[in-house]
Amino acid sequence: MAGPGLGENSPPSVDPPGPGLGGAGATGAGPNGPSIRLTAKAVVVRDGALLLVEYRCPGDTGHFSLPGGRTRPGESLAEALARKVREETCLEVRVGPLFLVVEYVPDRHGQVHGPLHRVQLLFRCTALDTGQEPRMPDTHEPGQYAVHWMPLTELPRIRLQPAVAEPLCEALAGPGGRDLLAW
Amino acid sequence: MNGAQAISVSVKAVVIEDDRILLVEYQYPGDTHYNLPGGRARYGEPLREALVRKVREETGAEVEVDRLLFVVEYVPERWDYEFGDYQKVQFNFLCRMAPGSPRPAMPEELDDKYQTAVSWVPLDEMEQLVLLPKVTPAIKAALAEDGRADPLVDRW
Repeated sequence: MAGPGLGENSPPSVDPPGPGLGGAGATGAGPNGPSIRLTAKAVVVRDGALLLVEYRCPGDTGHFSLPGGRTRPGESLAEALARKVREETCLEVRVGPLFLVVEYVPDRHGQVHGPLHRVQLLFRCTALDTGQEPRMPDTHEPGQYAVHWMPLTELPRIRLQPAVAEPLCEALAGPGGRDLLAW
Repeated sequence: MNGAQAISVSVKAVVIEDDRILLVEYQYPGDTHYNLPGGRARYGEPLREALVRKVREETGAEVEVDRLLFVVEYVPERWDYEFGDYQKVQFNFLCRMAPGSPRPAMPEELDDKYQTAVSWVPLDEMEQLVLLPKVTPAIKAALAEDGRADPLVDRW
């Protein structure tokens, strides 16, 4: 550990790399308790349609999410995002600016979306011209059902989680703006 | 978990008053640098509330949190572990002094014994001191941007 630096007063809570945390793994419990669950998410728009992953789980009405996920040790948010988009949709993307952040605090929302404190970072991404259309991967998460180009005009009518259709469309309609990710 | 790792989340305040910015000074042997006030966010505590708490702990000041200005990512492997072993993401918010707030000052009980001062630094003198992480350009770019909607959404 370097001494002087970024001014953290206490050692942050981290998981040891890799699996095997047992019960604590569900929330990423570390020495100072669980960590806020950070994920990077991709906003890929083509011809007025947004790339979405559809999930259908038993006992659930199903929902749509932006592709993306968490970092592995040594991976930046952008690298993790490109990898997760590839794993979930078979699409190669270039990760662009961070433009929206979504926070979910379970106790402030009646835990309706589960017990994890989550923060999602939304990046504008561009599909690389590889000729590969997005599709379901051969191996995927159990609940993943389909990959879609969803017309932006349909967003208010589908069950998007998190429910960011409004701020997302506002941001997409705007001038673009500065990359929120600095340094 | 499929190899995913936890990232330490911290929140930082860009408190501006009369063209000055509130900074916390740290002196280590042979090294003096500054940080924006703030610190690690607790699990279950909204980022904005974590920021109000941390600014109070470090400076005694009460602040109101405005919009998210920018985000800083630290991947230890990219920096040869210069700033520690833990992967971090730092959320930097524009803040203002709350009406009736005490003036910022050194706290009576120091959380970090290397904290040596709480200072208002003129914005045009920021380039002359070591602010870590090196976000002076990011602060200036964000402050120059007028009327942007808050990019932090806390609905789900």
